[in-house]
Amino acid sequence: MESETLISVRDLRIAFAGVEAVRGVSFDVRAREVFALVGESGAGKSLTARALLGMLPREASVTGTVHPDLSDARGRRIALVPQDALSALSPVHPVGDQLAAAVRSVARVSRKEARARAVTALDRVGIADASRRARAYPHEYSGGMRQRAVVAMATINEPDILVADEPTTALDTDRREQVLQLLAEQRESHGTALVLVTHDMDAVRRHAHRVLVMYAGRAVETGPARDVLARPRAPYTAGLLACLPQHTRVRRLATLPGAPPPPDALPPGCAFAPRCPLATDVCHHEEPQPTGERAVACHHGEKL
Amino acid sequence: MSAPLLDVRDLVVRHGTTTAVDHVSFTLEAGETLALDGPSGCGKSSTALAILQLRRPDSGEVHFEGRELTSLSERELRPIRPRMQPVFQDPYGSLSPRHRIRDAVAEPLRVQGHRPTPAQIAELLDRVGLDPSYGDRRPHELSGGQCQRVGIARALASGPRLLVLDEPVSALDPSVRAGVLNLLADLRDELGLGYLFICHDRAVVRHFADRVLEMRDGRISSGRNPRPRAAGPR
Repeated sequence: MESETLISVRDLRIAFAGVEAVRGVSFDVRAREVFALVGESGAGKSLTARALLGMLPREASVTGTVHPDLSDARGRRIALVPQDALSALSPVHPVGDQLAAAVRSVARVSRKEARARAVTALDRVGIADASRRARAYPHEYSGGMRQRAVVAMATINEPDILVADEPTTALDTDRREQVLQLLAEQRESHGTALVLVTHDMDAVRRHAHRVLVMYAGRAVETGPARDVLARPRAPYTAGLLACLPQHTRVRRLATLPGAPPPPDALPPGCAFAPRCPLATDVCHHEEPQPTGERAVACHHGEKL
Repeated sequence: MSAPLLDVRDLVVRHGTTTAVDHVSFTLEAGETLALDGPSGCGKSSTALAILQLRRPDSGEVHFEGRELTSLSERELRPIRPRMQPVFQDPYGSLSPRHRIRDAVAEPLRVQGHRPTPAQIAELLDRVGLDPSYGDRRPHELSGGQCQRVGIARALASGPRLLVLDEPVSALDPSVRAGVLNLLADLRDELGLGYLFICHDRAVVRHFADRVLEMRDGRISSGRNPRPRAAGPR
C-alpha cells in the first residue's frame, strides 16, 4: 500500500532533564493506513505518538523533525483517541454539547449546525437514539458507549490522522474488538490514517498495515505488520511474539530474561543486548544502526 | 476430604437497587486457578471485593480455610488478611506517591512486624521482572506496567494462601505478562496457592486457568474447562 505521506518523523529525540527517552526515531504515516507503534512500557511509543500531536510535556526537550507540524491543527487535522474514556469527557456537560464544542472550536458554524453534527457523529459510532443520548451526561452512558462517544469526539472534525493511545487496554475482549472495528470504519469512510499505540500484538495482527517496534527509545524494526509478525528480524520482536499465550496449552510461556533498562541507565552498545540470546561482543560495544528494507537495528538481524 | 480453600455460598452484593452479585456460589481448592470471565459490569470485581471482605456482602457466606468470614469483625479478620491478598488492576491507586518502591513492597511485611532486608526486597522486585534499582524510585517515575509489577510483589510479600487477582495482567506488557503468569504458575504449584483470577483476556484465561466461571448480570452463567490440561507435573 503506497500512498501519500501525511506526516514524517525524522530522528526524533525526546529528553527529560538530559535523559533521552526517545532516541532517534524516524517513520512516515501514510494516508488510509493503520500504523502501529508497539513496544513495552517505557519504550517511548506514547511519547513518540504525542510528538505527532505536539502534545509533549513542556519540560521535554525535543530535537529532530515532525513534518508537518500539526500542533495548531489538533482536533481538526489530527486527533487523539485517549486511553481513558471517562476522564476524557467532562462530567458536568452533556455529551452532545461537548461534541458540539469540539466542532465550533475548529469551524465557524452555528450552534444548531454544531449540534446536528454532534448527533450525526454519535449516530455514526453506533449510539442508538443519538439525538436523545446527546442530551445525556457521561455518567448516564455505559462504559462501552463512553468509549464510542470519545471516538465520535476524535473523529467529528474528520481529521487526516487519528492517534489512538492504548485505546483498548481497559476493555474486555468483545468491546476491545468493537472499538478497533469502529476506528477501522472511520478509517475506511474518511480515509483517515490511524496511528495505533499498543502492546496488544493481537490487535496489531488483526488491524495494522505497518508496524514499528520500539525498544528503549529506539525503533528496532519497521515493516508490513504481516511480515514483521510472521518473520521478525529483530531478536526483540521475536522474543516479544514468543511471549504471547497460544491457543494450545503450554506449561510455561516463553519470556525475555531481565527487564528493559531505565532510560538513565542504558547499557553500552545495543540496549537489548543484555537480554538477547544472540548477543555477541560487538552488541555490547556498538549500537546497531537500522539497515535493510525493514530497518532492523541489530548486528545479527540476518540470522533470524 | 478436607474443606476447600475457599467456599463461596449464595453471595449477594447490592449497590443501591442494583444487584451486582446475585446468589453466586463456587469453591476453589488450594493449588487451583479459577477464572471469572465476563463483560465489564457483570459483577466480577464486586465478587472479588466481597470475598476479601473489603466490601461486606449483603448476604451469603465466604468460607476461607474453613472459617466463615462474613460474620467476623475487622479485628478478627486482621490475622486472616495477609493470607488472602488482592492484586488490583490499577496499582497507581494503591501506591502512595510519596513512598519509594522498596517501602511500598516492604509495607505488608512491616505490618506483620517483620523487617525485610534490602536483599529480600530486591528479590521480590526481581521476581516480578523489575530491576532492583527501581526500589529507589517513586510510583510516578514508573510506567503503569511497572507499577502493576510492584502491586504483585506486594501481594506476594505477606505469604498468602489465596490471591484474588483482579485483571492483574491486563495492563502488563507481553513479555512481562508471560513472566508474571509463569511466576504465578510456579508459586501456585510450589506453594499450593489458590487463585481467583479475574480476567477478560480469553487467550490468557485459556492458558492459565484450570476452570472458568462465566458471569453475566451478577450470575454465574456457565462453568467450563478452558481446555484439557496437558500432561505435566502438578
